Amino acid sequence: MSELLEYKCPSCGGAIEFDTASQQMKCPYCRTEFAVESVKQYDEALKQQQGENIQWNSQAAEFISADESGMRSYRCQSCGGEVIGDETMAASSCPYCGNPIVVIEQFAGMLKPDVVIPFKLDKEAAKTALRNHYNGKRLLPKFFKSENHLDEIRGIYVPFGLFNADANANIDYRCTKVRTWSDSRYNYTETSYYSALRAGSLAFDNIPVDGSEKMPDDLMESIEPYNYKDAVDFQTAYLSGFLADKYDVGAEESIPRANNRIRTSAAEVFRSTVTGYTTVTPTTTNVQTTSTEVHYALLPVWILNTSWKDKKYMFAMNGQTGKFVGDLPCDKGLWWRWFGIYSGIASVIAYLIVHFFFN
Amino acid sequence: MKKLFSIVVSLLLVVCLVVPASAETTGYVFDDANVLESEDIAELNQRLSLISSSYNFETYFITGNEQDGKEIKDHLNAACDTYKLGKDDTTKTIILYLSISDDDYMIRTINQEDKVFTNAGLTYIINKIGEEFSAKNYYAVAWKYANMCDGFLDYAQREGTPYEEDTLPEYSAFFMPCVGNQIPHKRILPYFIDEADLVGSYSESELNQKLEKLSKEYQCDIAIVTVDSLGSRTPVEYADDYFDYNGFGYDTTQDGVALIIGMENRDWHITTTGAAIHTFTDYGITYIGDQFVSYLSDGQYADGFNEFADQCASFLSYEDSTGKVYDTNNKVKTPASLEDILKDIGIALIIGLIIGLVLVSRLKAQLKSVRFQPDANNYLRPGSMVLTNQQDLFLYTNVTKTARQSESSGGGSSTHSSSSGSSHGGGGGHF
Repeated sequence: MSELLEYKCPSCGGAIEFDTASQQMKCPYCRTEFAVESVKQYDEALKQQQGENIQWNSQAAEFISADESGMRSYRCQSCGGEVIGDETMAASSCPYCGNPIVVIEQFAGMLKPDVVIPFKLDKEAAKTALRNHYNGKRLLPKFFKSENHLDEIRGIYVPFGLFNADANANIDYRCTKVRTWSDSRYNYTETSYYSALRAGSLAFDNIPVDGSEKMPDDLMESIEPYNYKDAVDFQTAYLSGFLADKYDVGAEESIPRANNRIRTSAAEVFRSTVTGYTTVTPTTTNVQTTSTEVHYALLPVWILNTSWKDKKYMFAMNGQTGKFVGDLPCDKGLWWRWFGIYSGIASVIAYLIVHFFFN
Repeated sequence: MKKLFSIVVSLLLVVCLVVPASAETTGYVFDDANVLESEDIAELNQRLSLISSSYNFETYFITGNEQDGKEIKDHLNAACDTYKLGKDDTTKTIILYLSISDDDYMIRTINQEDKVFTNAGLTYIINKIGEEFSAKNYYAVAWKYANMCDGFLDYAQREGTPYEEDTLPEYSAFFMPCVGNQIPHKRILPYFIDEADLVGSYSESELNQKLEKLSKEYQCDIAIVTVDSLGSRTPVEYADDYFDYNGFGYDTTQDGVALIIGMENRDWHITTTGAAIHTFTDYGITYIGDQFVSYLSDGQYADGFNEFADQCASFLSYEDSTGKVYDTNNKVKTPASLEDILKDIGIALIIGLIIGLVLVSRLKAQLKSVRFQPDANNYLRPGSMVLTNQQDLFLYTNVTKTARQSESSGGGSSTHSSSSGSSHGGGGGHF
């Protein structure tokens, strides 16, 4: 049985939301701000007050049926409208009355997030970032900026597994030192061959791996890094006003991805300890990783879906740092035009150089 | 007594001084017609003297200008009487008599029992000096006569038999002296000689005139000779010797450049003397060679020789007008052929396209921002890196050496001495 949670503003009783700018709960109706803790306490007090009329309990959303597609429908406790969400949806907004709702059941008995980084940037910031993203891209089709239609913009807490791991590396390198000199008759090249061995350990903290299957992993990795300083213990209050996805990628599935990144980093770090040679080539690379801890976090992401000329584009912005990513289309005509321009100028300069310096 | 003695001595002195001055006759050359200069006479005398003593065969050269209406034979007889030639029965003698008044010449041999000069041989000699005689180039007549006598006598001595009708060689056999290494101080042969018969007679005379004109214009002899075989000489030796022993080298300057073609091994060689050594550097010779050799390879000899002549003229003219010579640091500027221009454009285009591609790919890369993070460097716990083992082991050393390219020559002209002792430059090759 899933439950939808709605927090009431202590001032006016309206549905209160988490505000990114102030990092506190803010009522959109009376605009009063409250600390998250205060709202929570108030809410608890409210429940007690209600007595047998505890809205909490009776707010158990009606569970219709879980069909194969994993869609569920919930009824909004404010207006009675039915809200459809898929299985992984943990927080949503009622499309009828706009009230933010939090689906509690998603968390019950399952992986409860340890930490959450609250949203720092709001919807407007995301929209502005999208517009800025178009700037300075010479090969962007001319009308993309004006005609690109924003279909949907969602602030989502994306579930991540944060992995701590120790890595033990044992790497062999083949190195050379090259020395050259000449006398009047010959040019000499002396190549000295060395074998270098490096072994050691490294530790990594909080490597994020996308825990949501439907959220594209490369998109999520592109908006890294998050600053974990802002991470706070999870409170459901932070979720209101935003959507949240649930974990459907298990730790076992995620670990290989983390390990890959660890291996690459380890190779780089150890390679940097091999100095003083002309060439260095790793011959055997052996990196063992052991996962020490896993934390679960919800990290804020603004997802924007747009469409242009019947093609869909997905953009993401790091809800904490504002890093904006998303692949843009390339205008073939512009590509050829700039290719022609660059080639033309380069050819002319090359011809002048060849003509005047080699003839 | 003393007084008488001194008078006799002074009289003797006067006689000694006067007598030699008046008679323009020495040893083997009697220039009664006064057509030769004293320098020429002295030179010819030296030559004929050497021939005479080497072969024990007196060779004489006489010019006469008797206007008494008698025949040339009579004039020759008179001269023989005057100079007491052939008055005994043992002295082998040959005389070439030029009669300026009769505009005719003849050769007489005396006492040659084992004939060195057969009738055919004498006719040959007569023919070979006909042109020079008609051109009144008596200096050349005398030298050619001397060289032929030398050659005939040498052949008879070596082979034990004289030149017969069927064994008479091309005149090229007489280009070089067999005895001595005397250099005529004036030119004795035409500028263009085609012993190997590579061009027709029309081209021959054309080339001759052209070379003569150019030689005068630039005060530098430009000559070409083609022969079937270079004999025992290398192309360098042959070219140098041909040039020296036939008096090439412009009158006043002694500068000259000559091209020798030896058909036996298809050799070509250019030799230079005097200021031409400087004008035609090693680079220049190679360049000129490149220009005309293809004509020779194709059998278009007349075109090839014209090309040679034109190139020489162009080099000389360049030096005259600018004071500089073509060398490795001042190469001949050929107008860029269409091929060259297209090649340059092609290279520039390829470079341009590559650069263009690189730049436009950078622009395209701006559009893409979604990618997997390959590393976890951001999550590395600072200070957690511990190196438990660090070993650098030396394995072995390998030294390779490559020979350095010798510095490319700085240009200039390489020179050498020829058999006559004079200094020559030049270069050659095959075609």
